[in-house]
Amino acid sequence: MNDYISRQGSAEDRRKARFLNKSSTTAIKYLRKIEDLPHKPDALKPFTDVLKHVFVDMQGAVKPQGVPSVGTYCVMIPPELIYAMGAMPVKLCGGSYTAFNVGDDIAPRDACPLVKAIMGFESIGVMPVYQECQLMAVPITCDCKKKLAGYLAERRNTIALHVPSGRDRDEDMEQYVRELYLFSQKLTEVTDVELSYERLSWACGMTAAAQYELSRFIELRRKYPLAIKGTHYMAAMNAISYTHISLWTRYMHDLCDEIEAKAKRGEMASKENRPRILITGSPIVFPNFKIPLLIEEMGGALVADETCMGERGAYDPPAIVDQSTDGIMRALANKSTRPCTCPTFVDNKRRVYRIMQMLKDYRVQGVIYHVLRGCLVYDYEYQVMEEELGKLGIPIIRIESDYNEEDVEQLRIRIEAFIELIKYGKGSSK
Amino acid sequence: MILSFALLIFGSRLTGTVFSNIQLPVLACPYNLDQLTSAGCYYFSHLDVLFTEGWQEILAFFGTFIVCAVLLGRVLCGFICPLGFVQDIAHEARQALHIEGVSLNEKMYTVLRLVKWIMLVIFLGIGFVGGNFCDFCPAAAISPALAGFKLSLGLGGFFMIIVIVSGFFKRRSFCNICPLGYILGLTHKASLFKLKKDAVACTECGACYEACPMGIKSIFTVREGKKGELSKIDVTTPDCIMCGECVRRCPENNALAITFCGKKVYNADRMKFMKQYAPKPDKYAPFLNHEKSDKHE
Repeated sequence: MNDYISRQGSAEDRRKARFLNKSSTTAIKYLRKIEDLPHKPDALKPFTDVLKHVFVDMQGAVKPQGVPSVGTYCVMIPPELIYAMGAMPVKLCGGSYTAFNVGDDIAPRDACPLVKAIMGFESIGVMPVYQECQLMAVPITCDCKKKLAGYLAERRNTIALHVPSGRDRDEDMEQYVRELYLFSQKLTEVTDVELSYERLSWACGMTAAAQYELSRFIELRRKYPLAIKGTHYMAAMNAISYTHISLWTRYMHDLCDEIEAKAKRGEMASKENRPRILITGSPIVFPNFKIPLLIEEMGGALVADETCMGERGAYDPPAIVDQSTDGIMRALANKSTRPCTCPTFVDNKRRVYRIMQMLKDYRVQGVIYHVLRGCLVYDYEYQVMEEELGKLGIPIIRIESDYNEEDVEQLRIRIEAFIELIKYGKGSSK
Repeated sequence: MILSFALLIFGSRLTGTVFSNIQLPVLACPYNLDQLTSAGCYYFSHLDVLFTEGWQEILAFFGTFIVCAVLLGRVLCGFICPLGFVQDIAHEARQALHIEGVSLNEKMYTVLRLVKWIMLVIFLGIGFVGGNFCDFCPAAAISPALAGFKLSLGLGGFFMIIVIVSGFFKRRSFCNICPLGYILGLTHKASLFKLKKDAVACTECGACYEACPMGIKSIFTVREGKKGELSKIDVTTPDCIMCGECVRRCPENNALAITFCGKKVYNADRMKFMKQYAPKPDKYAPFLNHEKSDKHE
């Protein structure tokens, strides 16, 4: 780092150097915290290595040489389509505090920190995982994504996908199928690969293998919720954004084997008496792992998460009903939007049901509702969630947080109080 | 379903040769032209003939028909009907060739439902105006042929070709307009086979709706039972042919199930779903060979 600074002394370059320095320091700190949590499975190492590769070593995404990467910003963009067109999807939702500080000058004060971080990364232009993307695909879901798409389009090759705001009408789904076809045409421009049934089928098979391993993992966690700490699990899920899915499948396979062996021997990662917590709400992106780490530190056990950078990142499989190009495109359009519990849709009752199912599956005792400051849509749904969980008798608290470390102590107090409430208060009957 | 092939092969064969002496109350076609009068389908389309028989005959007919409908309901459509079998073969042929078909389209289903009502009226009423449904029924053209009797083409044969070609591009197209099928479906409330849904397990992915050859949307949209219950919601409709495609394509445990007398006989299972689509892992090994050279660049 010192060579870098002395070789190029302009203010801009020093700023970039400071950025890289701070960014990697934060990443190292959080990686160390994740790795230091007791009962870390050995098979977690490849996942944390991916995160290290991208955020500490400042290398690009882990992918084969010669394969272009396409930045996606959401679960709603089907990775299968991108793999089929000969590129690799990289989910670039920003979690970095350093980038957030840069983006704070560009985006309005009340904008969501995730988008501020993305804008920060884009404006400072030093992260290879961002710079090497040949196309940015932004789904137009919330207001911030809309303006992000406009901002990126001024600087990069960008395509905006118009996600329908409702999913029950057939016309809305037809619209999204058309959007995916337009997207595939744009991808052809980047990679010179034509859309074909064989490639789609191959890509879907590849992601199906990943989802098979993930489903195996989820079934294991349903049987033994305490077999792996939630923070470790979320680190593994975050890694899916930056690495080729065939690699991730292999790592997940090894992780499943290890957890299965441990569970059969009765080695749990958390003690039985720890209250089981589910976290839901705005995405938790590495290195913003404050809240999962705090939950584990303060005596709780994070057993499940209903966030899009966590379990939801690869949960819904495409149900290919018709083995033809159009059949697969329809299946991809359906799976990207219909089961998606993102609150940017008009009707999101399915999220309540999904959480109810998870409460049953993981025997959850308390829910932490995470809202990023500025994420209005998730905030809107808090009322509904509070009501529904009230009927079931499960305690829930709303935790608002931002991308900085100043609120860690406040969060610590609140989370500690919540965990005590469950342990000794209403929820202690379980 | 794969099972449907095994059953339907037998169904086709049996209806062809074995049951020619028994008066089957329901099966969709007379098996050979001599035995025409023994088929239930014949009586429905020739109600004028039925009403000239003695009232014992009429009661026996309706009685056995209702027993059959309650016992099996439209499982006959999904698993036993030979014409269904023929359509399934056409569909699987298209799947193997990866040719695009007619995809889900609400307007198309609205039109098909209208055609179904028209067919129903013609089916039940044509006897009274002196016509004969069997003259142009596609099933009448194909069933005797499959049974080994002579192939009688003509108007029925022409319709049979239309049925097979449209069945190639759209799954089970004839079932959408089959009048006998709808009559069987009318007893769905009392039927022993039902389709049950667990709305909490359901993620509303819409796979069931996309998979359904009858275009039934209620299986996807229903969130609450009539009494407000959230699980074991009965979503059987008169259109449902009990083919089980929705359950097969459902990725959530227990979200959909076919039940017989309340017991689940076919349940949606996530791991089974995943095994359908997940290939052998070695198939994607190529990148793993690059792993060492790429990761540490």
